[in-house]
Amino acid sequence: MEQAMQENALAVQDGQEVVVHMQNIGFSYAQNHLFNHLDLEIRRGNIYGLLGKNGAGKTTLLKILSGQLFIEEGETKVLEENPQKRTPSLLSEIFYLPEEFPLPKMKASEYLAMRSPFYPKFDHEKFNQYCSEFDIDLNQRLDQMSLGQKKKVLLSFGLATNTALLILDEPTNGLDIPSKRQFRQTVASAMTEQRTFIISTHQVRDMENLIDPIIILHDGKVIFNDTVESVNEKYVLSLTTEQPKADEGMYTEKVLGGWMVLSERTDDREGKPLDLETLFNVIVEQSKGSAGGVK
Amino acid sequence: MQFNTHSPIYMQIAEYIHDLILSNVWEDGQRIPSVRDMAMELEVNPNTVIRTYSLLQEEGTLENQRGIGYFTAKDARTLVLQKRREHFLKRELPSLFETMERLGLTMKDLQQYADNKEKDDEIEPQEE
Amino acid sequence: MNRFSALVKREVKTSQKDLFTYGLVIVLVMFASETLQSVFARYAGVPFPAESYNEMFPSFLLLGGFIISSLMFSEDMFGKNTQHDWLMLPATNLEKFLSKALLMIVAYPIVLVVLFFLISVVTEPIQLIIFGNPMAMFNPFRDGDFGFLLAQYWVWTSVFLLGGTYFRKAHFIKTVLAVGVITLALGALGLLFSRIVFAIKFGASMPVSDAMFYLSPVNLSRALSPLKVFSVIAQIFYYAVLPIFCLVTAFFRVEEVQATDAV
Repeated sequence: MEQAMQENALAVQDGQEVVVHMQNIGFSYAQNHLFNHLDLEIRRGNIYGLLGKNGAGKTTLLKILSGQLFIEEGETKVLEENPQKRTPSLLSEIFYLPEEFPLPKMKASEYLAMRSPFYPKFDHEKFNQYCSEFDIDLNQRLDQMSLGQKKKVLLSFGLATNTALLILDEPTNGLDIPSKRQFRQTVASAMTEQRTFIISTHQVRDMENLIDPIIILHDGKVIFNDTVESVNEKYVLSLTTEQPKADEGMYTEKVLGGWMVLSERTDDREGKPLDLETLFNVIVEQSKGSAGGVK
Repeated sequence: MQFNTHSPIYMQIAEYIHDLILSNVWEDGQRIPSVRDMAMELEVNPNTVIRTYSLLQEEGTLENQRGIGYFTAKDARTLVLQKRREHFLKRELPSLFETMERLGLTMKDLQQYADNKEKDDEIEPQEE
Repeated sequence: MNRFSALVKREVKTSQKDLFTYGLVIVLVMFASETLQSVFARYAGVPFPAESYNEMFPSFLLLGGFIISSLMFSEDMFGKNTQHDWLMLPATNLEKFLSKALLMIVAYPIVLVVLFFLISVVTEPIQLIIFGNPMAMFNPFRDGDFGFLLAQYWVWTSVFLLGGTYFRKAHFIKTVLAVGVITLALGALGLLFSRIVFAIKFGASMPVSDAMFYLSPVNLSRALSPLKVFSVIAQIFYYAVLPIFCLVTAFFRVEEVQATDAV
């Protein structure tokens, strides 16, 4: 299945320029090996979702490809450059929104005046538009804002920088319910063929319909990097009331009113597509059973 | 719009657009929202909307005028109506008959239901 | 250049509150010391010292400058939540480093001189009116050792800038300790060196009393005259090689700095 999926991914994504290329990455914290021979390819014009369990290394991966952490082994190329060099030409094409961050003690408008000169393609009109969509008062002091409000300021700023690559680490953390909706709308409207989003998240439901393709990080490797559709074309979830036999289906899960069984899609078999949560569970579960991924 | 988990999102969006055309919210030959605006309204990945639009373009419901945007086809409504009728007759009707058979209902009961509904509609014509 | 000035503006803007507080402290300290001295001069008959500005200036230049220098990189390089902002700022590592280093090496002494002068311009007339003290403006060139002072500042602020990039925490204290340890080590080496030199010259078993004779001023200068070359070398080393080495090393630290921890 893995190879088939990769071929399919190539067919779907062919022609889109590779913006991030990571090969054979090795990285560890002190004695703790985090990544071992990790490979990753990211193509322009998509909103990638980076999923992984706690401690899988999502933030580390994002920090590596933005040049904040240096790898011990392998090669990373972002927009044809080595991110570790931190050249202005590359940095002005990357915007990184961290999960948590303090902002300087000043008004949002002062922050804008201080920070925007670094981004040659900064669009002030768009910034004002995003801020008004998010209900942000530019005269309010940043240090008096809640985490959610600060995130919205920085997100508006990041979208207005017009960088090729936007890295958002847990962007919906700290956002209230209406803001999550605004977040999805704003990201959807800010998306262009020239941009690439990489969004790491635990809260799959916040972004179910926004992120695609999906990257799953598990056991120091990228075990999945493909569109949801490519899985749905071949596999289908169905609900049965009888407990499935051990060898039936590739993945089963007990749910309310029966069992969910994942099996290969055949023409006569009606079923529903995988939601992201199930997709994640299936992929992670299968990678445990057989080292080679989903079989 | 609320999405369910029964079919892929791009299919659900296609059905949503069919509904818009059937209910005349979108008229034949009308310009429709851009991919970006649609993605924003539905809070979905713009690539998903592109997929839906090209699917609908293939079946003839939508037309893409390069550089201007997407339009509904001149005969969009007829096309969708035809498609929906076909779907109803081929897919929904058989299962309806299956259920009727299981419950011991006949065409007579169906006729009676239709007559009653007509009467009700005369009293409360607004209700749909 | 545009980017560089944006970097400098960012430095000033993000620390304007702290800088303002620091400036205010200087103003208050100077004003208080002037007033106290005036009061003493008037009522206790203690002669009024004319050089109080020149006495206070070095301590603010050196101590204040070294503390600020060692804190200059703290947040941006090692703050767990703050470092990403600096690391991701689109500018070269060299620009980022120089924006901070030049602010401390060049701008800080200039601003401090101007501030002291302004304080004296405001304070002195007040003192004159209230206490009848003579006007004594701040004049950094009065004592003629201003150049020497600036040279010391240049050398040691470079050391503290290196300390600021080298140590992740407690930059100032650790730099002071490190300098102390290195000085002790060098002193020990020097002692050893001179012991060897003297042993070669006078024989290892010369009694201390005889050595004292040779160390009398007349003999010493004669004995040390071959060492003049060393003195020049030492000065070049102290005023040029040491600070430049420190700055270059500090720059490499900036280039190599990474995010503290992530997962």
